[in-house]
Amino acid sequence: MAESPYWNPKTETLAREDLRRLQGLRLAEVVARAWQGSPFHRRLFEQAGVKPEQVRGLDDLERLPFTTREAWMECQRRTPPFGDMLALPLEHAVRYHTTSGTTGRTPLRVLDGRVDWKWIAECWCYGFHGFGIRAHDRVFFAFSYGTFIGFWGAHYGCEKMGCLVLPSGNMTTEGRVALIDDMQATVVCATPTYALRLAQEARERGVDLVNGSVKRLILSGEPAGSIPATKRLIEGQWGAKAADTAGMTEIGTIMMFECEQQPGGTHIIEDQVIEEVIDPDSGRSVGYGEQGERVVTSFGRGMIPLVRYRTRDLVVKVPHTRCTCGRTFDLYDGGILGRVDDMLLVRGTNVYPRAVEAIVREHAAVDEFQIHLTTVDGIRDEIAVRCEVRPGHEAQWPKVRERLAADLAAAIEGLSIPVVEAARGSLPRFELKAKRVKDERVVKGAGR
Amino acid sequence: MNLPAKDLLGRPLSLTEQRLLAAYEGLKGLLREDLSPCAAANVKEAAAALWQVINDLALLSDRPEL
Repeated sequence: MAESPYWNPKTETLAREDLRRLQGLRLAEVVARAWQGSPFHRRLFEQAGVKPEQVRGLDDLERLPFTTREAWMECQRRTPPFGDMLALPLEHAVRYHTTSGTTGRTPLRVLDGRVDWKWIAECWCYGFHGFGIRAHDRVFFAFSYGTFIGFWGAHYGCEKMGCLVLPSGNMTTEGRVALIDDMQATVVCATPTYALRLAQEARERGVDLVNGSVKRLILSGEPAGSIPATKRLIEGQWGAKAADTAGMTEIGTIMMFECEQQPGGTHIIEDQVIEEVIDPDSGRSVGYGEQGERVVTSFGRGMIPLVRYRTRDLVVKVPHTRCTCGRTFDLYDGGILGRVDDMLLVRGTNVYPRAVEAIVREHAAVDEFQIHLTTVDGIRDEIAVRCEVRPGHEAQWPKVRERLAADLAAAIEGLSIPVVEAARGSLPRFELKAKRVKDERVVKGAGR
Repeated sequence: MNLPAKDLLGRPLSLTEQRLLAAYEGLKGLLREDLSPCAAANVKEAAAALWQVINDLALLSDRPEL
């Protein structure tokens, strides 16, 4: 059993009807917990006219209302800092994380308890084990370990599996390449963009990655991990296999992973979450093979039950039979394909143009602005805010520029966003729908 | 202590599954005792870890507040 290709052979190979039954039981549990503990959820359920006892199985899923990020953020705005979504008292929390907000400088705040963290790490174990990573591996994390949840769960998952974990929170890219080489890491976890940046640094330092120790890369944070051309580029530069995973702060962990068969898609961890795909306009379910918006219900988070959460990610679900690995978990063909909304992904960080605008507009010295995205050195996403200075504010501009850059970094997970002066009259003006994002990246983090 | 004979899918529990369930219930029982800080914290950790097994294997509907 220890040599199983599956982390959890019992559920990863369940017959679909049994899997549906298990999901139905767990749905009823999570709805009951949410009703009992979370005023936010009880309010939503009451507005939709649903009571927990009416939810007995998966067939009742569509009775339940959607949860949106806007409603979640609004409840935190009304009763800061955590809103009334928590289903357990604050004293159960052992960790605080944030993700960048959609409309301003306030982040979305999440709390997790001891049991939640066991589950967060567990979901990563499904992915790591499924891609062939074992206790003998040395796993390097190119990750900053801040309030952004990122690879935190992956770190704990690898410790649980018995791997040797190599953290690199405060290191430069040069230092990280040296550590990978010195410690003979066998697995590297990074965003796709940063995996390419590490490879570039290795070339410049004369480190031969292709014949080196790294055999597997776990990619996360950007959809590029499932874009075949990008993946081939990464695999070629590292001489290693690369697997895509995708997660989100709102559930704290990953909900999909690519197995060793690399079927061109990611398996959904269907014993731990329900993933629906809907038409973003009508809210109705779409079938296999049709593109739609991901909606997730998570079973494992106790402090923050998440029921039918609209992720705004675009996906295409295909049946498990697409893959030959033997798992009965369905897949997302090509991973996450893009976004329904205007969110941008820059080096694994969510950037909402509305949030940038809210901060820029606090500064009267800015007359017009543009968010400019480029690809540097063929691999690295860069973002800058270009500003035209309002006539009469030139003297204040150097200080305003400094303040604005600091405000943007503070609001957007520490992402470095240079503020650059643009010549007067050089930026476009809009009468109707403004388009202040100029995305000139070769591979866009938020789509393809 | 009465432990279920079947898992959530109605399948009979294997001997190993029965032992896992008994170990989990045993840890939860310990948490009802007056434990020293070191014992309380570590038993909670152990119970949370074993809950994960119970949950993965669909042995029981339970969500401990630890």
